Amino acid sequence: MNHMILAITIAMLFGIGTFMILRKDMIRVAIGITILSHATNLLIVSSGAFLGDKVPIITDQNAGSSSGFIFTDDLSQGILAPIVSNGAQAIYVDPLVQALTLTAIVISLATTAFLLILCYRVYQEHGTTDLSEIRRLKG
Amino acid sequence: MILMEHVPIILIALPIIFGALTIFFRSRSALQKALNIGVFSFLLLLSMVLLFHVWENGILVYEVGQWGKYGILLVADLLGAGMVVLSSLISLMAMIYATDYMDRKALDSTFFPLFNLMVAGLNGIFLTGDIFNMFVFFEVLVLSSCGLIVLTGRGDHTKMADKLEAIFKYLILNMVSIILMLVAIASLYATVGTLNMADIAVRIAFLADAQALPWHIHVIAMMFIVVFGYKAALFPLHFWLADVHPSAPAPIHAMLSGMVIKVGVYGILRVHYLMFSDALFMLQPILIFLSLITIAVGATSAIGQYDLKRLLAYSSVSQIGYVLLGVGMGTAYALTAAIVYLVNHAIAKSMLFLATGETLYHAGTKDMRKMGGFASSAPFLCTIFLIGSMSIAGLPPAGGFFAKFLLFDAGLSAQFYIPIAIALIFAIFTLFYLFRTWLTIFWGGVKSQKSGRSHTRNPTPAIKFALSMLACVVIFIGVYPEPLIVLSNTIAGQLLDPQPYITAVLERGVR
Amino acid sequence: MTTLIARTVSKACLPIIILFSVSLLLAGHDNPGGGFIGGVMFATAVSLMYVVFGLNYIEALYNNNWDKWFGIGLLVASLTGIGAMLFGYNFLRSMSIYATLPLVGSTKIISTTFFDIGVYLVVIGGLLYIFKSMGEDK
Repeated sequence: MNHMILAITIAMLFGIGTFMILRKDMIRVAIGITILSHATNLLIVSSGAFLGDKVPIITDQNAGSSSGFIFTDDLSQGILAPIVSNGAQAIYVDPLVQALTLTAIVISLATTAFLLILCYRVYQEHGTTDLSEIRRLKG
Repeated sequence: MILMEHVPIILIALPIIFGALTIFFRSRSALQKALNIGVFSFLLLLSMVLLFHVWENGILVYEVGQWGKYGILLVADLLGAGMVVLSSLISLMAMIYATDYMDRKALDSTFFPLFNLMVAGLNGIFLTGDIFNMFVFFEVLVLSSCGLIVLTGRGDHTKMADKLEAIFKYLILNMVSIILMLVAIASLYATVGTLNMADIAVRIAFLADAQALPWHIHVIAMMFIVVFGYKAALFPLHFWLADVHPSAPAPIHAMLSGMVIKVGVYGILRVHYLMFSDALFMLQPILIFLSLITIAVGATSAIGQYDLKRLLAYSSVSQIGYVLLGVGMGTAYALTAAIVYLVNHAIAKSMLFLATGETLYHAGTKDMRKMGGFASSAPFLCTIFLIGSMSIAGLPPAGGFFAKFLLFDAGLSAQFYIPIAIALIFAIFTLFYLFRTWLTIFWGGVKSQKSGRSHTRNPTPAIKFALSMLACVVIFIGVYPEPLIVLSNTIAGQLLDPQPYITAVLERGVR
Repeated sequence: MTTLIARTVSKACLPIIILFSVSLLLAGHDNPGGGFIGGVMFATAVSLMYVVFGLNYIEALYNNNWDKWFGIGLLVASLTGIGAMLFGYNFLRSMSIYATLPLVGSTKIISTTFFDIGVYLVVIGGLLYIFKSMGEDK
């Protein structure tokens, strides 16, 4: 059930983002890019294992109980999603996808900031945010 | 040789550190110039050492943070190390050129930090062994090159408004392609559960052997073709290049057209030949077809151009089609030819763009119809431009001759008769538009309606040095191409049989 | 113009937010937190002051080149990696020691913290440089 809701959410976000970057207004394009990157972040998170329910943080208190399946990787026993061998039960959610999402969020923060400033500068130079009027480069 | 192990990370970390340092030395131009030229020479030296080391001792794998194969691995195989040598050479020359070419304001503000970060991004892409890390370095490359396009140089006749428009296009389209790449990476991760490229290759091969290859692997491979095709300006995705590249100042234009679009070719070579070798049989016809259209579209668009930089940008589109044609044909000989072509095009085209920047400064306009008779007033530029045109068009003794010869020979020996026929026709187009350009600009009578912004001053020593060094390399490749061909042949062998790469990565990586 | 309530509350909030951002920064290596989140929080606090009191007023009090912070942060983060190489390990290899500090007691000192500090400074410098240079524009 949860997976279905997540899938529908991701699909809708991709749809909205694609719709927005096809608009004529520059700011809407920027918003569309942002929504697309959020949809991608959700997609990355959803590609991790959902089997476990524990937070993948190993601190001193539960270091003893946190050994186990994380670093078992045996090709001959078959392939199952992240670094968990076949048949083993994962009690932690996949930490790697969270790291990936964090990286993607940081990068999308930088690009969004750059993009918004760029929109502002283009508005200063051209006096409009309508993309159909900004087409001097052709030939 | 314990220090040798650290060379891959130094190639990435050193530009980043100096990118940070140059922020502090902003107002001290002379120091910055000396420092940056020194650093880039050191990087070139280091990358050549790395290439020789990899040639002698096999693939060098470096674990960042010592996390085994679960962390980020830097893998310097012959392809990666060779590309790093190429990018170091071109960036050093572009840097030497830029110290005299760029405006004082640009040099004092953001040029040096961003250029350093751009080189770090390039080196990172070529050396990383992790598909997600490749995405991160793509982003570093894109953002820093966006910042560099805005800067102005002395032969740069593009208005700020046009530059911003070009960057907006570049950034939006790049973001879309990057998002597509992330979607592809996420799907790949959900399928095979790892991000290490060698590990992915092993697992996909395992699935293929078990006849259990999921159909969406093909979709993912196609998505990567779109992503890298966007970077390399493959046909349906080539439209941005002619707007974006000519808006950049000449050294950045040389870097963009010389190295940054080669990143796409590198990506296809690395990702598809390593990971998706079981899905390649479907992609190769598509690649050949698209690259032929790219050749045709680029060449025909270039013929009608009067804007010099725009003409050369379309020429880049056309030439990248030849490289991808070799990549698409996929035999060992064709891959050798594609790599030779790539190296030659990178050097010759960046030389041509650097010469173009100086020519435009000399002419004071970017319209070719208003130029003429520069052979007497700028003989040096005339020679450089001739060498570059000969190399791109494929005339001996420049390096382009061997590149084109090998490519066509490879195509014929693999019995791709019709693609080679089409490519040959458009090679004649290339010859035509490049020499028409050269004759228009440098021969003929001096045009009377020179605009007031023209300069008769000769190129400065730094600019002359950069141009003549690149010209020497082009001629050297043309006269004595054996080392390059042997190297490319070995690289092609490694690409078609990635087992040494996989062994080197995984045997070291597994704890 | 902003109200008295906004000014008073934001003045009271500023040290709390900054302290919290520093605590997030120092917790980052094995607990939720880290350089990026802390840096964004610090930047939010300072940009709150910019919004509430106006750019000119803040600059009269304390004028700062935020891009220098960016450079220092990048330098600290990358030198952390180089530092591991000096000890004969690979780039960015992290290690931790337990040390007894005065006032704090036994503390886990981990080299990732220095990397996080670098990220913290980069994020603060980058964001506030953007805010300031865009805000100055009339």
